Amino acid sequence: MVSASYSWPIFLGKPWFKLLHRKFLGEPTQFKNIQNLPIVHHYGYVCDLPPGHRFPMKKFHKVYDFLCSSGIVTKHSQVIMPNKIEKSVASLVHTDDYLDKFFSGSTSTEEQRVTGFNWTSHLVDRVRYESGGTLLTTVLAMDRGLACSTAGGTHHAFPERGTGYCLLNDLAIAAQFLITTGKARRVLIVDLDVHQGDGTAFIFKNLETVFTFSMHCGRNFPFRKQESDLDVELREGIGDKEYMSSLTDYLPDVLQSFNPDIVIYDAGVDTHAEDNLGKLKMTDEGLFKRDLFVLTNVINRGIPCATVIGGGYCQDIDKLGKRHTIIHHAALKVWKQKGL
Amino acid sequence: MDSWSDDDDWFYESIKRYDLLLMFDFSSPVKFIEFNDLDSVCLIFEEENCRNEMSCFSLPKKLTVLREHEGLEKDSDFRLLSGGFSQKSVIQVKILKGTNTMLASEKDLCGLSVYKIPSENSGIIHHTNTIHSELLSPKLAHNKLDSLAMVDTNKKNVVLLDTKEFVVKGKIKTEENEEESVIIPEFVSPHSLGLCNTETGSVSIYDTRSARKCSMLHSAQPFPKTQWTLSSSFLSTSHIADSNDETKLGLLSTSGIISVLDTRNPQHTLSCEKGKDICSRSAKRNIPKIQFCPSKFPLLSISGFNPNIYIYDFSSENMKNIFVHDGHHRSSSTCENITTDHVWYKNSVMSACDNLSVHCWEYTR
Repeated sequence: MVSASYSWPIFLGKPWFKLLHRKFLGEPTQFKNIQNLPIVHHYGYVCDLPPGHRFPMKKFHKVYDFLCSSGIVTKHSQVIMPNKIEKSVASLVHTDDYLDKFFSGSTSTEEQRVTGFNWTSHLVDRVRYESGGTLLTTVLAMDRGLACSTAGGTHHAFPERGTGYCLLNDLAIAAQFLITTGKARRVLIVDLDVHQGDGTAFIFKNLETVFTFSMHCGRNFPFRKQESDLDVELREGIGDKEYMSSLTDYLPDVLQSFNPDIVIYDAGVDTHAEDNLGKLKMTDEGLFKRDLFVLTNVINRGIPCATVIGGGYCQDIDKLGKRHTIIHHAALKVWKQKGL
Repeated sequence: MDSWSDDDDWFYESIKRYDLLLMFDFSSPVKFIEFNDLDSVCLIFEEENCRNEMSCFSLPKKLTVLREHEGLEKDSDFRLLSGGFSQKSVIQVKILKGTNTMLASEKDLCGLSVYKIPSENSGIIHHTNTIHSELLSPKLAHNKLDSLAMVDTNKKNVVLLDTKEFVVKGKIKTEENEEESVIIPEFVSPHSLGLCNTETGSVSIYDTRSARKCSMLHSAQPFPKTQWTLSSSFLSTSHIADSNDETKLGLLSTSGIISVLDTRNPQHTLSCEKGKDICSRSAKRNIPKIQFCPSKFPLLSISGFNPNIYIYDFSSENMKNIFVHDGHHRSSSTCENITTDHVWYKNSVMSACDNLSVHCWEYTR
């Protein structure tokens, strides 16, 4: 949605003439017109990859299409587009040297190989849109209580390098942005992707204002784990019941003790039994219960929550896209229940 | 009361000068504006990384409702319907109304790229296929029915495409023989294609059914070191227009000369303007744009010289400038800013400038 930055104001006895200038993120004229659960999406989340590439890039379009066709999203009143993340904001977390190389295409062959992508300018664009999207989602969540992105969760990126399909750490950038700008004093990152959020853990290992909680499969990548503030390693092959048992044991206590100003929730679906990479055995129903549990516990405490879709790898792009919308279904349910 | 800035003065005056004024800022400059249907518009943004971002928006209700009901409407927003990226840098686009299909001539592409503007349940404008031809990055003209003319601007070959079947239905071998000249097309009626020689401003009219030249029109006077462009009143007639006049041809030079000719009487110039009111064009821009107003009034508009849009009354031999939209020029802008495109929507104009602004406005008559 693009709001008029100027149109004749209503006269209230005295004329007001103000031109509202757009800022990087602070587009207040867009925010005010968002009704219902805010959904952050950009068609630039997708770039072309070589045929047969393992990363299911097209899933981001599928997520949005399913949200539209299922009635979860009303384009006119819910969707807000992010801008590309600026280098100055990404540098809150990443080194200038890495950002210069990444933005300009000077990363080495080996540096590109470990990310899983060959560099293209369009790849840079999509990464910047995705990170911008996560950042916007957190700002929206602070404003509205709950907001969802249709992408995000690039938690393997380190300050000076990308790895594992992650080139910029969007969760870390968003969290650090909120802290640096004073929008939040304490940020909790709940990462339920099947892979440990090693990049995020490393970035915030010495920062007390950001708490990193990662619940993942111990036998999945990365094989050399970092140390989050709380790591819960699950054994290979567990299903919904055991998963929820572990989550129930830890999440409420973390929320209680850390008392964050916002939760950034990575709702990766690669814990699903049909995931190509994940080694757990959750079901669609289990994912929905998981997401509902997280959101309900967070929102019930009056804490805003920003969600990203996280990881998911499946040959059937339609199925995968639909699976990634489970978090949005859960978010809409909580939105309505809580009267946000 | 605080002292007014220049911007504030302008806004204060705008209440008297405009019946409608909506001003938007985007994150990239808009390169092309193309209406999709009565309620939506496609904006093609300036290229980045060798491709253009394309977005389809629903029009603000304040723009689409009857002017007498505009005060009852609160909605002044563009709402994003879909978006995507072009395959390559876009030279020109044409939207086939009622089909949600966009045809794009792109840099280094022999032929056209075809894009589908999606319906309700998808958000992606996606490339569906490429129509290959021997014409490299052709200029396009659409007769609003079923014909698209593709012109190789240097080789002067014209290919006519059936826009229902997407097959070539005819070719025209032009009689242009100046080696250095470039020609651009525009339909002047459903079956008459005008080819404008950008160096001389002369326009050859070809019948697309017989592929034969019917007539030739000359601009008011030749002018050295200028380039010409054209538009026809036929293009402004549509289901949103009041006008049925399909007889006027407008020529505009980069030096600001405007000529209006009658295609039925090509030897006589109806109206002319020497362009003395327009600042000299910045060298970085392409050929400026001329458009006829779709209403009954004998009005035309020009842009592409500076941040302004100029409206002229061509009812008499000496064309009269009756309005200048100077809203794109803000106190923070520079004189180097140039309008990139403008189109009429009923009696309103949508205009874009390279300082990221897009305006919807209707001046007070």
